[in-house]
Amino acid sequence: MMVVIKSSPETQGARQGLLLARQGKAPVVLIQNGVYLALGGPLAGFEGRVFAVVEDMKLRGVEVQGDAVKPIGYDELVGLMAGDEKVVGLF
Amino acid sequence: MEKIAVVSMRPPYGDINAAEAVRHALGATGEGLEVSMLLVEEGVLLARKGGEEGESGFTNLADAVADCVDLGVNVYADRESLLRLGLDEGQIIKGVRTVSYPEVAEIITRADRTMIF
Repeated sequence: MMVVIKSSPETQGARQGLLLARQGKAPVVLIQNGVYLALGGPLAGFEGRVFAVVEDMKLRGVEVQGDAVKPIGYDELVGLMAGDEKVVGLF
Repeated sequence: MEKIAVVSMRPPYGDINAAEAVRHALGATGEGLEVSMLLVEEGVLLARKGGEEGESGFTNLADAVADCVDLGVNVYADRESLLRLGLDEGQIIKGVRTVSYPEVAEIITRADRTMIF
């Protein structure tokens, strides 16, 4: 399973998506305003893989340090979604 | 001079609210009103500098906020919201002033009109 989050950090959608990802031990893909989660906060302590769409990060001036969040393009996003058994979103 | 407070509570780009807040702040200052733009909750993300619109088709709202500052709009960002969202003063647009929530309340109280986005 993969969870796609498009909502900003302080929304119910983002909280629900992260909760599902934690409980299901699923990777998370951040798109649109979801990329603000890459700044930290609610993602702290998240043990699964996290991906974030580069175009959405660039628009919002979000940069990530280290390898906690892997930047991906839309092509890679499509590849990830096509390659997973179940994609749950958009939170 | 009539005072107007424009409150922006939503992050930019996810929906139209932040862009409309900026548009109204610019319009009001162009009409000669004294404008205070208050960024609170996730609205403080509008004060984040950087951002490249690339080929997205979006208007770069960070540039638009910088324009607000240059044109005399008083732009304020709630300190507590910035802290909670992991932003420090070095990451926000030059000229945006950080304030406490009581100061936000005072600015709204002094305004003749308030618009909330």
